Amino acid sequence: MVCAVFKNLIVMARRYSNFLKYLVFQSQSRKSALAAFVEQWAQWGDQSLDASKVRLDVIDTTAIGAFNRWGGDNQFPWEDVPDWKALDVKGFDLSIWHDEQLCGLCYATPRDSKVTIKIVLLEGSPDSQHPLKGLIAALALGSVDAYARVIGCSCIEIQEPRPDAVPTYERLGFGFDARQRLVISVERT
Amino acid sequence: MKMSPRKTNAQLVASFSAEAKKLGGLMSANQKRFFSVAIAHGKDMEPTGPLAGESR
Repeated sequence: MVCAVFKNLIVMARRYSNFLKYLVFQSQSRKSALAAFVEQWAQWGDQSLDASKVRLDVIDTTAIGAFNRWGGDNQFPWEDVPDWKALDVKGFDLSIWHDEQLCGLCYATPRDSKVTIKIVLLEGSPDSQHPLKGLIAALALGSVDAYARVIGCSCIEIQEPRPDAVPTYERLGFGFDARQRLVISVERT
Repeated sequence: MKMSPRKTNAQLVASFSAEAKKLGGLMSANQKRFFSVAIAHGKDMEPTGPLAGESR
């Protein structure tokens, strides 16, 4: 009896540790991607955006509340992401902000794959004048690229790319493989 | 059986952060390309709204 309780405690401790590990991996990936973006922006010397106001965060109630204020037809179930995360410890959620303005959302997961992480949902604000217009795909993919390297995935796949966004992905370096998947290899640094 | 000493939450976070930094490395070629291409193209780089995913 005591032995069974002890074993259960060990299993719970391991699960908690694993949960915490991926939370930290995700947080660190957001931080490193943001640092890389800020560095690239500074090198470019563009003054049209205050890059210090760009934030990469989780998808929580604040992000979902801001998404609901976007208006539009709410095609994607962003409100389900916290539930998905509870079931998918490796799932990577990302909200992209400029100051207090939500500009984009992304959810990616390797699910059971050790090779490929898939972009399941990616959406930019419907406001064509939002401050990060043109940068949402790059910021999301830069973050997923960082996370893929941390968890050891060697490929990023765009699941269900919107047809009008395919040229964007191709400009960023994605291409269709033999199975017609829109993919890019993850390079080790 | 030898037991390792229990780590506090803060120690676990520090250890996982260090592991993530080591595994993640520096800025990748992909990241450089994503950011530089998007910055160069400006606001016309992508359409507004949904970019990937299945509608409900």
